[in-house]
Amino acid sequence: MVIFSKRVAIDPSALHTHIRYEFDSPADGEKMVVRYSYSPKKYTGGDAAALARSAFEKAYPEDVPVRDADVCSALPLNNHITLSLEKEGKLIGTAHRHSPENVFEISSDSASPGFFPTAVEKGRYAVSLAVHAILSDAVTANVEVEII
Amino acid sequence: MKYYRFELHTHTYHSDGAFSPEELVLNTKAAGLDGIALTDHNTSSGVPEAVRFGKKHGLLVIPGIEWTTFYGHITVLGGHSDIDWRAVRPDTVCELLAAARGAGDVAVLAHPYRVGYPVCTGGMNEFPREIFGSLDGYEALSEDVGTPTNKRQLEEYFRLSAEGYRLAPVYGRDWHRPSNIRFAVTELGIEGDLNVENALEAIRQGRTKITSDGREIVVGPARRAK
Repeated sequence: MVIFSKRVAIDPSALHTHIRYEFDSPADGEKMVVRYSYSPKKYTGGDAAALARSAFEKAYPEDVPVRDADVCSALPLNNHITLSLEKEGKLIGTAHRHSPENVFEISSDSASPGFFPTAVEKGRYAVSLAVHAILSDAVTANVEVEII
Repeated sequence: MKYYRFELHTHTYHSDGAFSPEELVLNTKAAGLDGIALTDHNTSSGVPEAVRFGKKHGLLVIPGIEWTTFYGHITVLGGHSDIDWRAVRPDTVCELLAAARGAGDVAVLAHPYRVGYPVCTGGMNEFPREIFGSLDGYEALSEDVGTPTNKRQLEEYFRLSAEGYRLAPVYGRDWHRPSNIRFAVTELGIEGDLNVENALEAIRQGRTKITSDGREIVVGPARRAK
């Protein structure tokens, strides 16, 4: 049974925020499956190299020039949005992944990496999306939660 | 007191690392170290497995987490506190560090001058200056010891120490996957048995030194090695 589904457009105004959605599970389940994706991952804007160079210049000592090779090593730049899951206000875990396509499973005796095994019970849950990096004008994220 | 060789900043596939917890333990053993801290990004879900394999293979594993925030990264070692990383912001960081340390953990500022946003969000420390009074340690060197950013980290470490901040010098390989970088190690001066609490106490007391290829680079508290 799908108990939560959300498609959201995220723009750069959401940079460094947590976007949180609460939802209810109407029944107990054997496991919870969270399908999470976002697109685009890569930022292909014409200013990518300049943005990367600026970041290097802030970090490097003044007397060390930033080389083109340093900048190239950081390209392409990426949008990066991670997902956390809560049960009754308590964090079950965070999946700090760079992949934009993910499926996480949580049950009382096992859980996908990043999450702690947790009984799937009737009650209040929440997902939150941490917007670590967003360079594209719009990123579309999809979250679907199913209990089995 | 005896010095033991540690890597205090590591990751597994419980966040964005390539290692399983057992692979991390085995790679650490192969590198000749005595212990690690597991500091996955914003989760400690890999700790039970890492501790189990540490005991199996004879390696001390310190439970930990890396608070990977938008404003800076902090490794919190010990596994005593249970703070939601999402609450860590510039206006809360000192209070939350006090809570973590009060619970028995130690806190280390990670790679303070890593190249930051948009290359690595929070990679460069942007927390307010007050944070330096709320930490136990500072990564004076991180990742490849030859990277230019380490020069700034090292200089800031000595500057902070001269200003009176009491910070243990720590190296962080930020170990995500097998690599051949020029890495260093953190040696912890441990009194008594080699165990988690004595390792944490060594950091609290500044009994640390950063060495590379057997050569001392920084010796705590805040002494530049000759």
